Amino acid sequence: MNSTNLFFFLALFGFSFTLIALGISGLPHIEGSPLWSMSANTSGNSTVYSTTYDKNKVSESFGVTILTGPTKQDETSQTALRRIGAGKPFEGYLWVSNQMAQENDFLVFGLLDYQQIPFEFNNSGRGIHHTIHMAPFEESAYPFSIPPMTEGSHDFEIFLVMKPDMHSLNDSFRFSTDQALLGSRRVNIIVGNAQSFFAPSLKEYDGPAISCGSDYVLNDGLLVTTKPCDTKALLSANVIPDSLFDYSINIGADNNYPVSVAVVPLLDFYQVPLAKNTNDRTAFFTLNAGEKLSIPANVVIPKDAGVHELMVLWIPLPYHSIDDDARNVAQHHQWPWSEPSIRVGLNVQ
Amino acid sequence: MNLHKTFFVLLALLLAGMAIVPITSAESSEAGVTTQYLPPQEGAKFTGANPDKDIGVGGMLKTRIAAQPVKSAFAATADAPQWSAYTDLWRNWWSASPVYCDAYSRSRTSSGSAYDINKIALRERVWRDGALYNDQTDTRYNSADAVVNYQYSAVYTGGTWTAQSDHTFELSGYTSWYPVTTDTLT
Repeated sequence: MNSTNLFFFLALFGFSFTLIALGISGLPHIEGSPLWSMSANTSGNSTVYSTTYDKNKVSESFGVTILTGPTKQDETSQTALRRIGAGKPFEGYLWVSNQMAQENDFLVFGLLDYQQIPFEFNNSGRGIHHTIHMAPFEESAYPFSIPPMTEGSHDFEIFLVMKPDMHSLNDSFRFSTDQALLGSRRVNIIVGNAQSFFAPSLKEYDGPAISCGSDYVLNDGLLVTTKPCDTKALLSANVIPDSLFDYSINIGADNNYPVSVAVVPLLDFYQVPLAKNTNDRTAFFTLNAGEKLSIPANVVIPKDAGVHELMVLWIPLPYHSIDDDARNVAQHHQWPWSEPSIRVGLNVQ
Repeated sequence: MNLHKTFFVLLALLLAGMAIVPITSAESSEAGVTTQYLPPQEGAKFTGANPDKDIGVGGMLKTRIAAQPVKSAFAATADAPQWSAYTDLWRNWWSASPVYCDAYSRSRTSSGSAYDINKIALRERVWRDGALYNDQTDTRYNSADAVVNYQYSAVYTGGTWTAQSDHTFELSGYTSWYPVTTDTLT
């Protein structure tokens, strides 16, 4: 055997292997060719549809619901009214559907009357933060228990944060967190013998604010920026430990309808004051149609090196029942889901 | 000759090995969400753009059959609606063209008719070089469609444009769906 022949045959074998490997791996995928198809399988009186899809391109898609029992049949609609006896805990199940081909970790926290509270979750003890890990396409119900509340009317909203451990400073990741990677469900609760739900009188925000004018780009939403009334998103910043970091929370009603909203700043998913020297951790606003404001805010930077996550929650219609009351269809034009701001990566060096 | 034999033995072993290895591809047969980056010809059906001339026509389409929470999470009965979420950023072929962003949430029967659901909505945000240019919502109750169309016209419309839409589909008895669709245009 001479070396030329050996080289030729090895090269031919390698080429054959490469061609066959490419053929079965699907690599020669042609852009524009169908990435999905739908088929129907009829059996008896029922038809089950199935869809094939490119699982590598399915991004965020998950659902959450609060249940009264451990099965999905125990579902009631969003902001369902719950009644509990005085001195009793509020118990329920958080149902989560990870509608993705990837396994995912979610951070869970809850706001009672728009203040973050420790609560029991999934039989793992009481805490402010809880985490769940879900397999691809897993659907599960997790028990939770909220400590007894004072008699009267309350709101409890439970939040799920997807990718809580992602701290990339890449701009595209930061943009992808805008109004995304967060889900929540709210319930209105009556404790005691009250006949109906009464929204407590709210202390509206009366701190400093700048009018951005009705031409400002926001409509029924929130944007975190460096300068007030700016349109340039604040994505990340290099910061000094233990210093004060200033930023602006810009909020706007739609030009065609008013909004009521609670604004809640979070640092590393823990609720923090709007600004140093204030205890206000939640700001309530009622904005007229076309009213756009910029709120000066700041946060004390942690001492720990690494990337810390600053996020501001936009929680619409505090103490309103969003689903149950048919009048709401006519009453509320407002976007009825809580939304997160872009997660701002604060890089402590 | 020994060399030839060696080659064919190796090739035979390779092929035999492949026969017992599960063949995989980029697509999964698992039922659920469909994500599609539409080619221009398909995208133009949604936006009215000229697929042969206009730029960036296509966009992201996500589709799923509404699922009921039964044993198989994504089994769906014949009367379940088909939900689709779409965002497309595009511009005309001439240089001073406006930039358009068309986004919708849509609920249909298997035959393509409107299928009203409890809540259908979308929030569309359009960014240009990191600055927010449009923020718009459309929330509908007992409806089959939510739509946001945006158009930006100026002497210069260059830069990197990004759009992200947050969609909502809620129907009693079915698993709610909250997909996010995105598109870019440079």
